[in-house]
Amino acid sequence: MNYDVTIGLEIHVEMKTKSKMFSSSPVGFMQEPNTLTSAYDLAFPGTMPIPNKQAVINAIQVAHALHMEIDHELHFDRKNYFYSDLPKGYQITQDKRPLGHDGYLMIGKEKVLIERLHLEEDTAKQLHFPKFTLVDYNRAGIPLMEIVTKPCIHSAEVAAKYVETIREIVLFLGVSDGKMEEGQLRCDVNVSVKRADSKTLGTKVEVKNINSFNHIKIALDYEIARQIKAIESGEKIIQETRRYDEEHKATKAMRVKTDSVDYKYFTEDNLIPIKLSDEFINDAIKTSHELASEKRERYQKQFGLSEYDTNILLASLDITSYFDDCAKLSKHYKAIANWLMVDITAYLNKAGLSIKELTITPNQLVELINEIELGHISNKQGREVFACMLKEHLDVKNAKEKLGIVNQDSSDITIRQLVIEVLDNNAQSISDYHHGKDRALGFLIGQVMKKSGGKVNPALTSKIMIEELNRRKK
Amino acid sequence: MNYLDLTITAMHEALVKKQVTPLELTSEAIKRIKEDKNNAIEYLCEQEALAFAKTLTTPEKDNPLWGIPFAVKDNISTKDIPTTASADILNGYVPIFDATAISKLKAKKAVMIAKTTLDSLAMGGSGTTGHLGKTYNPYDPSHTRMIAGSSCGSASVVSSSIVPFALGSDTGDSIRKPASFAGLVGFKPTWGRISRFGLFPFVPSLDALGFFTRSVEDAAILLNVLAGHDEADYTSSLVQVDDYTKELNNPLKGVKIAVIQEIIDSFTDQDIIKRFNETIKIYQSLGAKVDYVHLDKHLLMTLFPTYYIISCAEATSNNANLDGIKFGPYYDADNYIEVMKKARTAGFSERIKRRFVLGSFALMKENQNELFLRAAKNRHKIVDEINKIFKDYDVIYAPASPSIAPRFDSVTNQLQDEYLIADNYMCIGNFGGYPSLTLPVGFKDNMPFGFNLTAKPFMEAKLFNIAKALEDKLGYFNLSARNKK
Repeated sequence: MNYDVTIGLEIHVEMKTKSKMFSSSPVGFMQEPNTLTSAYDLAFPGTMPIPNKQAVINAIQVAHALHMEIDHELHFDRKNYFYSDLPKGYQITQDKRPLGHDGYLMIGKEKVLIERLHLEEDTAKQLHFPKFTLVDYNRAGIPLMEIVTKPCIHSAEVAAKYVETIREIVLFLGVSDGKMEEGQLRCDVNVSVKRADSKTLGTKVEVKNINSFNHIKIALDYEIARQIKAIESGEKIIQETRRYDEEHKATKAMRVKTDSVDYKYFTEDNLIPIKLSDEFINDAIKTSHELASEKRERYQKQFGLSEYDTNILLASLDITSYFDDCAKLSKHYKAIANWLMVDITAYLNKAGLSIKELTITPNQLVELINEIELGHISNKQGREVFACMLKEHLDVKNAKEKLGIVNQDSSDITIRQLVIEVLDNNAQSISDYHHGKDRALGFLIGQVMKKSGGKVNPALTSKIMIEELNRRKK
Repeated sequence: MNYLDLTITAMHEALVKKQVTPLELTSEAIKRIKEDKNNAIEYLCEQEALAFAKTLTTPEKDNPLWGIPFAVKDNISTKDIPTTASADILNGYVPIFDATAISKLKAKKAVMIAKTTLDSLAMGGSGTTGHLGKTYNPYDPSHTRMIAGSSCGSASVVSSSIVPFALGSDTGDSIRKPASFAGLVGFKPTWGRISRFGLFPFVPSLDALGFFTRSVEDAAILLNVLAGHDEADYTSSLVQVDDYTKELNNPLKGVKIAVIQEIIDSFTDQDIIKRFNETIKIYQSLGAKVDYVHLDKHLLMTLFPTYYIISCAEATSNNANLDGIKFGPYYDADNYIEVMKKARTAGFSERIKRRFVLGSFALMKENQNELFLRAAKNRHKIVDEINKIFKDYDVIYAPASPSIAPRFDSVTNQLQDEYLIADNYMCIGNFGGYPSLTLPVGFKDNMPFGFNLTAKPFMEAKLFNIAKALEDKLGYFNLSARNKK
């Protein structure tokens, strides 16, 4: 029997704006509890919300990346419910008019339809202990973006890839660090399964608490299998909320969903509707950082990098920033990519550093690469210089001096003179070469190197040697 | 006659001439509060006020509020001074910030003397529902008559000449109604004209921070200080601030006054009606044009239910922050639901709970269209009709209350026109965000009553002009229960 799987996702993204959605307290993560708060965050009576412009700009940028229609008026509503993590007893959100609506995202060949993107404020964080609960209001009021798909995804793979792509978008737009483990990106998934021949949709089950990218597919595969098994054994699927249990790699029942909660939404009158001019929206879009997908295309089409290299670079936004800085200074794109992927990555991993902590600037790296590309130093010497630069915090020139490396001679005329001298004294080798003995070439080049004291560029010497040999062909 | 009995303007003159000092005024105000029998005070800022008044030694000639004592309704946030909104759930709450209006008054070196009582959380119009019990009308030492509310304490202290002005808030008529019963000028500005930052919200789209004074000129002077855009209140207006005293003495020639016939028809007290007609003659004699206009009576009858549904509904949300977790009395329990339940059960009066239940009901998904949204739509319909009148007129004029202050034990038939319209029409001012002012116009049985003028948005200067013309003619200036003539 075949089964149809239907998946819909709600993703919450915490933004890393300077201040909170409606108050001036700073946004920070993993900070001392209750140090980033204000009277508004604790809902002291008489405080009022002031919208964060940057959060609106961020949301416009993400909505644009998701090909959404953008509302030209900002409207906020209240979502009313009592909970100990909700200071005001309501959350300011956008119910009736989300900032973005009706977009999509291509995941491979599949088009994931996105229903809405809206702005809201985060709740406080609770730390539960057996006898009491502590509340940390640092998180209360951090700008959130909620992105909701239509129930249009039919596999765990696409769902997982979709979440990855959303993360990549918010990360590359500079909107959020998108760390799932730290709750900066949270996703709730609705899953339903039905027999392929059944006309009615299956019962919707919500899965929460998936807090790592690696768990999305595992959780969904488990949940889909669980539902199929239940259907096959004639059990009724209960409409419920389940949570992902990391330890058992399974979803566990949390609570049965009775009639959905009535949040008694109504307009937030402390925020009059805000007109978003075409100019404001276009400016937000124009000043967007480059998306991962755009970078990927540019690296391949414009820089000629392979898909493999591109993906390795794009695994880190900071690496791509470093790469882009280098690419502005030099056209040796492949060489830059290689240095980043191999030597630099190896060094950073070993030293336990991030690229932001790398002491070698893009300028210096490009200089080093130029030295090699111009034939001043060999690849091997390049690595030595690189290591010395790191160790001694030197620039290219000083590292070379420290290592006693002198430039290879790359002057065509000097090399040609040496080549001619060597050829004039080795008639037999010329003849051997012309009779197909390739070893003669190596010998001749060796003679040149020897004569120069090892200071000539081997590649260039070889090229000139062949030219001169061919000239002497009878 | 004591200097504390003066209006702001006259008191300022005395201060500048050094006939009296801020410290003397403050001490006298504190003394009067201690002798006062009207239960109007939530918190007496005795030490704070005296300490501050002592620092005021050099009069500021161009600052009309320098050294002037004032009182504040206790639903306005005052830094380091307890603010309870006369609700037990906020007992012990000491704000960490000043409302913008308070900051502005402090900057002008006015002296805050006391926080005043209100109907708990400003929900109510009787002045009887605060956690300290009834507030009394200084004009009635027998304590049988209301002063009304919700700004009952502020009305009471201005009326007793404890202070020359007091801040209040007005969501339906919470300043303008008690002003009528206390013989005061009671003013609410255009929505957005005075920052609401620090005012405990009841219904944000209807709430206005306003004040009581004993003269129209004082009201204009105060608005000069309090008006203006505020970064902390996103709804505060960017419309340029006027000099609200500049038109005070303009002739009324060309002024157009509308009287809504159906509102007047709902009044039954013949003394009120007689006085109203007399004042119309005065206005006409001053060159104003007074016309009777019509407004569908059925629409007017919906004013009160519309107000009630909107206000109860929004109040549930605006007071949802009061859960006993972050401030106010904490009640321990096994889980957060019980913690909240205990705090809210103990902290809210029965009346408030009833309003919350009604408000929640009106917001429920299955009822919202039929109740809350319908009320919101009707509000717009009413405002549309009023705006039509304002196309041709400067102000709308009517008595501010059906009669003099009612007795505490009086029973109202809430289905009569008199209740539905005469007693409740002033919420029109909040529905449309219009500036609106009540001023004293007469006495009956030794109790004062007032009439109300409501103007187009941001036409405060004109409103004061029209009000002052009548004040001048009637001579009801600087009335107080202390110095009854």
